Amino acid sequence: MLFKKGIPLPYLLTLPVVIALIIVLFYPTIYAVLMCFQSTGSGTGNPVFVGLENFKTLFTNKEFYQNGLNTLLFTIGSVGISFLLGFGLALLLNSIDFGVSVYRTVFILPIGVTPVVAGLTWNMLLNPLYGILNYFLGLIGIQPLGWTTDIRMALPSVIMIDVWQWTPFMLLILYAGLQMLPKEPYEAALIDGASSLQSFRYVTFPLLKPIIAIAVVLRGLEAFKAFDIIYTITKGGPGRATETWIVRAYMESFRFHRMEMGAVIGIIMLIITILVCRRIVRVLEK
Amino acid sequence: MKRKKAINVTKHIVLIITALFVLLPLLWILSQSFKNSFDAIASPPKFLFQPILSNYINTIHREGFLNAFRDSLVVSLGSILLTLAIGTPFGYVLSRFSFRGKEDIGFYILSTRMLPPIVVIVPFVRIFNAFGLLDSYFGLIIAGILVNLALVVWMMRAFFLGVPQEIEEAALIDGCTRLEALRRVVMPLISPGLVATAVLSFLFSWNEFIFALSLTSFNVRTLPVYMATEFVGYLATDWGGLSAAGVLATLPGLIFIIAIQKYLVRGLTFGAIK
Repeated sequence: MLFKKGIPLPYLLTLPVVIALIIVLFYPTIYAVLMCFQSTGSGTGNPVFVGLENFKTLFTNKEFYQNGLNTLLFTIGSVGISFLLGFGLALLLNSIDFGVSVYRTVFILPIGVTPVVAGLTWNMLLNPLYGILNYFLGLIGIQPLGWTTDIRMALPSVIMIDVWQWTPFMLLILYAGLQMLPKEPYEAALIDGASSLQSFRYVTFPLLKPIIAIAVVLRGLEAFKAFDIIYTITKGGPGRATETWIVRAYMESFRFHRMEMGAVIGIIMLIITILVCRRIVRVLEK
Repeated sequence: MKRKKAINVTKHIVLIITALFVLLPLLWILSQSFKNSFDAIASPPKFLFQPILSNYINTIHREGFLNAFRDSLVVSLGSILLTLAIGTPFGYVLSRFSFRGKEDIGFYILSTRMLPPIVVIVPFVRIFNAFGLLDSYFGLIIAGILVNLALVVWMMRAFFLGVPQEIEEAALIDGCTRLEALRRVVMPLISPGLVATAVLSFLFSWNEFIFALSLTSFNVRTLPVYMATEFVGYLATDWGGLSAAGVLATLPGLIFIIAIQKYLVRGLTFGAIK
């Protein structure tokens, strides 16, 4: 279909997006790749080509692996827990006969909360001295916990907050998935004498798999680069207990003015992201 | 029958307890925002107290708060208008045409949302600095394309797919050009979808933090950055003030999420699930 004379319509409508991609994606990404091989010393002056020096510095740095482990634990912990909770709640919601829309409205609220505000609010709740969580624990005879100040507690605490904010995401998607399932397979399973556990195992779960995949992968990619909550609550501390790759990259770039180190960590994260992303585009396109 | 009823009651109890846990932080920040500075850090915590409005009055008069509100508004509106203008046409292309490279562009658009923002932030600082865009509305609005382009394109694609091709063909037969058919026939049909997309984009822009934190400082300061710099880092915190500011900052997001809940699943999955 030609748009009179000149550029065919589809290309004309695609042009703005391509220009935008060049400005906000391709150009900066290439720039970042080049930065990985440069050094600017303390951040001023002209960049000098240093080969693989930046990578060497990073890969011989023990904390980098600690950051990687934190990233992995945060991602798996947050996605895993929010998936289990979200799926459980979706099944519950799918099985009750009234009040669904009220519960749904309450459950989606955390998605709308500004993550920075969520972090600040939880900071109050988790405060060792004045926080109400320790107060409630005290009522049942448990000693106050250093939620965000104890090295062992800090990572689970930020995971808990991320779970609070994003379980609704899992819940919503999986509930929508459950609603779309056809009725016939269940009737067939019932006739064949399947228990409710069996019909879940052999009917619900397999049918829901593509939707579970979408929910888990999208959530996983977000958790992998989650910044706001960790930054507002612990800034990566205490020590480096909650410092993930993205927090480290931010600190390197803006606290210590080693922009090239931020670029190196960013590119490593990007490569991991692309490997995952390539797979889901096919699912979405369907 | 009795057993079934018992199970049903149990389900509601579990759901209600969960709902309370979900609401707890929100109710707490709301109640804190009406407390005076002693009640806010009282130990044991005060659940009953004399409510006051001074936190809200102080917040509005607080240095920089209203400016931050304005900055958030300008950046969010600017970035959604720009992104809708760029992304909507391509959402239409994805739903109607096929040509070589289309899938690749679709993938790159999705990756703008998936990529760790630090990858582009570091170069942005350098590039923006060279063009005088650092710490400006325009710079942050450009970066805002990354926040919402994937959402706009893929969500609009889903809405365009919902319009039967026959309607468009009928308009073509009536003598419309393709572009006129799009403007006069298709766009009115998907306007609810366009509104939902705009609202969800606004929400994400409004809550966006890392770009604003890294690319702006003195001239432009959005609400999340304002909140994070004013209320983080010292122990003796003004919890009443923090809470009032937090409530005001997050209220638009809460209203919007309720307003578009019908389209939320579609938005969060980039159109993959209705």
